[in-house]
Amino acid sequence: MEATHTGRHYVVRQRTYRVALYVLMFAGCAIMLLPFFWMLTTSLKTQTEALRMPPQWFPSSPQWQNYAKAWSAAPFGRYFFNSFFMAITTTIGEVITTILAAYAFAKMKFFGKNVLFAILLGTLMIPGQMLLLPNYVTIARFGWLDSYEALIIPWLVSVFGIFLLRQFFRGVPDELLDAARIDGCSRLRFLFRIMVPLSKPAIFTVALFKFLGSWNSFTWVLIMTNSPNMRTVPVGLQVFSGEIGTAYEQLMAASVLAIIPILVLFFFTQKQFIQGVARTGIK
Amino acid sequence: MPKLEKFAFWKRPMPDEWRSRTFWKDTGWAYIYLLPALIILGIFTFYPFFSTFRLSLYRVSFTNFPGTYVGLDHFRYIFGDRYFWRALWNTLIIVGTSVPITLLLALVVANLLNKSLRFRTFARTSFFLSYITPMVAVIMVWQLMYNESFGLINYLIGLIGVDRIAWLNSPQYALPAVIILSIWRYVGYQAIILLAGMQGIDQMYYEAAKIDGASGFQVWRKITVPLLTPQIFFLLIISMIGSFKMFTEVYVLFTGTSGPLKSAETLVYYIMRQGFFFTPHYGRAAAASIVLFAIIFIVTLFQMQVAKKRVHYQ
Amino acid sequence: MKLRYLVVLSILAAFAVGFMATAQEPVTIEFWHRFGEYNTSMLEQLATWFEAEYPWITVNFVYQGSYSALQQKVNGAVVAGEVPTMTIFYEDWIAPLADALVPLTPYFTDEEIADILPGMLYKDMITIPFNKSIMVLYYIEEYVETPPTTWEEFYALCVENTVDVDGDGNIDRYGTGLRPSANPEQFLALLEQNNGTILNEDWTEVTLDNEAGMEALNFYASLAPYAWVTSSYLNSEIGRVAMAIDTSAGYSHWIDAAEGTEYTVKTAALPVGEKMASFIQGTNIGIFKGAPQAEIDAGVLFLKFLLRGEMTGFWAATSGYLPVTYSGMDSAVWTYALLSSPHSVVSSEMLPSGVSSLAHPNYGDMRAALGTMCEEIALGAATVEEAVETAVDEIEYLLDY
Repeated sequence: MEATHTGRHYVVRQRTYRVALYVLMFAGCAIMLLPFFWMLTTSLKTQTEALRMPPQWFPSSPQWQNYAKAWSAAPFGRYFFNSFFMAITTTIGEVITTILAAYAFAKMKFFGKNVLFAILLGTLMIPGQMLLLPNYVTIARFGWLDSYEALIIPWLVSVFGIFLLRQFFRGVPDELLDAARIDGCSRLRFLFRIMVPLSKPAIFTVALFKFLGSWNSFTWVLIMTNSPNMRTVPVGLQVFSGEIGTAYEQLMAASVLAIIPILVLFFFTQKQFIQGVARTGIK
Repeated sequence: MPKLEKFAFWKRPMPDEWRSRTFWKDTGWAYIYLLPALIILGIFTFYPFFSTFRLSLYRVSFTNFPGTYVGLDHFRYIFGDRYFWRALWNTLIIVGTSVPITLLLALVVANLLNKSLRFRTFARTSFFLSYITPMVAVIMVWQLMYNESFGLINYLIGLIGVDRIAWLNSPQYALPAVIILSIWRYVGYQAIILLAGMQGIDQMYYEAAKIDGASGFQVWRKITVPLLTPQIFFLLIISMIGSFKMFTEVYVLFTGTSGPLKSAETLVYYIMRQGFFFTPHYGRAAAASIVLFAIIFIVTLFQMQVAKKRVHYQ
Repeated sequence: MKLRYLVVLSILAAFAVGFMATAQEPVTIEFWHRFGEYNTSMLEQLATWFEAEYPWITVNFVYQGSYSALQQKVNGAVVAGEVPTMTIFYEDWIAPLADALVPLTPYFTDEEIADILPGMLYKDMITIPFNKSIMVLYYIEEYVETPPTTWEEFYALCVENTVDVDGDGNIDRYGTGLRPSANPEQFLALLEQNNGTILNEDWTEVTLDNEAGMEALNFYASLAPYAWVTSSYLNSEIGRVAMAIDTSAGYSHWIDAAEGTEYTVKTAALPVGEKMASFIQGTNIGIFKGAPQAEIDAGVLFLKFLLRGEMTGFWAATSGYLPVTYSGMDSAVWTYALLSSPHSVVSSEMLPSGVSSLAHPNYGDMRAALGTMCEEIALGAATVEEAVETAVDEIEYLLDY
């Protein structure tokens, strides 16, 4: 054993092994990044270049005006406003309802707690489309079809968020709560003064998932809204693709625009972002 | 029947806490805290859930909601509809291929990212990007890359001598196209979760294995994977539920259709097609979604049972 | 003195009565549509003329996005009981809406009804035709010098034009294009030309699989090897097909797609089988029962206005659709439009032989079954006999569902 570890043979093998690892890693990265590269390069081509076979890796001269054309071909300004508005309001609202509910489940004793919690977890198994039909009727009856109410209000709660935050709240020692009680600190103040600041990373995770979910939400928006005024970026993009025909370069330009906000969010919060996502998998 | 005794709550003594006034006071407060969540869940989750069961028994009419009672006709219709069975079969194929393949690849990637290699932050970001970017935007570029006559994928496979494939226009390749896309999209996310799990494993185990002289692969198989079972189990459940619910990938990739001969139609697409596209048949869609829910329910319960035996917590 | 008072009073009274008879409460009608910017401006032009004639009526156009968005919006409006006055929609959406629409027959005179092209008339007139197009033959002049006049010629040209240009083993150009599930009307045009029908006269029996129907289907199947089978628009890859049976309304898209390429797109009448026939597509207008009576009355006035020869002629000449009445076809503005557009001449000449989709309330589902049948045949997933048998079963089930 020891001998091979110091032998020349071992060193060579070790080096080949590492080279193989690097090759594997970069090949993986290339496959993962290729669609993004293709999106970007196509968005800067002319229409004939975009449809050329064999494909051209780079545009002969970047056609920046594709972006301007795509932007003006559909009301993307409005789509972006709607997406941001929907994502931000649902995120704020959900964080509040989730904090309250998760606190009740984590730190209070009450009648029906376990049954209620089990029922809530059970809803995670319901396919959203199952609810779409009656919800459509409800939204129609409320007169909310094609309105911000329909985009926001039903999404102000997330069972997944409650579950995640409850786990975290339970980790906060009860002694803190007792100490606060003695101080005559009211529950709500304790919750927002002590629990919430202590749970910032978990709350960030909850908020992040909501923001991503809202930004990407497709089927609900597709069904509940109709007018271009109410569309969000994903639905607008899909409709746009049906309407512009073969102008792939414009479609790709619009796609690049659609992913930029999420990329910006990602690069500014990269560490918390990845930790937040990773946290969802930890019991 | 000794086991049933456990559930006979009426025979059990009343919990002591029910006698305490503070318990009921707390209950009141707790429900106030829960109220906003419960109201919204009540209106947009619980009510529609039960309403779906009712709608599945009606031929839904717009002018006279909910319409005429038809009993189990819709269930009979969908069970006699070969496209329902095709959709179910397609869904099972997606679940049966994309879930295990994605997970295996994610294990490999996580293992790679856990090594002390340079550029691994860059690699981590590259793998993760596909998960966070808006789905519709990435599906669009895949649609372009899958194009039969000028798509990048046919060009690349042509370089290694493979004949060009009508990815989106032929019934046998439509479903693989969806599966490849879905693997690409989720492998990075799963890898990140597994990586976090790996980094959480106590180094002590590895030290012990080293002393025992275990080989790298043995360590991986006997220590890393078993200690990752909580994460693996979590990913299995969510990716399985996610694959059962697949819709947007199909809808966008095939521009509003479900591929030639509905060859990439999933159960959820079937539900949406029956309920919302063309002539709407809400009752049929409701019946099909009940079937889908039942399948997910059974599969998840089964997984939980397996997990009880197989998941190791540190 | 008294007499004078009386005279003045009676004159005043007469004026008051007359005034009350002619003055109308102002009313606004809401009209849902999905036209693009240019066609919307033409609609607004029509409304301006209308409002000048009926000053108490205002027409409010509401754009509702894509056709599928419009359909969902209309369905939702009916559920919620918040309907507009009128909307455009396809005939195959009727099933869930039929009860919610006003039957218009009582509002129209016999002459007015007789003026509407018979191929466009809908049963009970719960809708009237509005933006209509007809299936014509598109061809690329570089491939097809003279358009075929018989289906035999068409077939021969398809065979001739299905070629592997670069010799890599893949076919690069097809004789024609089939969009089986998206556009079963391609087959329905063949069926009609062969004197075939989907149902018998009184809708009690499916006749799709009789001799005429099978002949049409077999011809359709024989085209499959020489056709690009797709769900995309046939003009999405210009040069891919030499000829296409496609709607006349797509003309501007074909021209746009061909711009800057080496191809010239032209249109011609469909080849002729047993008789000349083609399929009319496009949307109709319906008025909702749920709207207030004053709006319904005003809506009827607007419909009558739109059906006038010069108005439907104007709409057709500017929008790229077709006139919907005989007087529209004779109108000065349409006659003038024909002078400068050979494409309009083609579609105008085909128009009198056009037929519309069945007015059966379940036609939407029947059309879906026909689409599936065509797709199975075109992709070779089933034999003609198997495919037609399944479709007949499904349509029989829908006859009185």
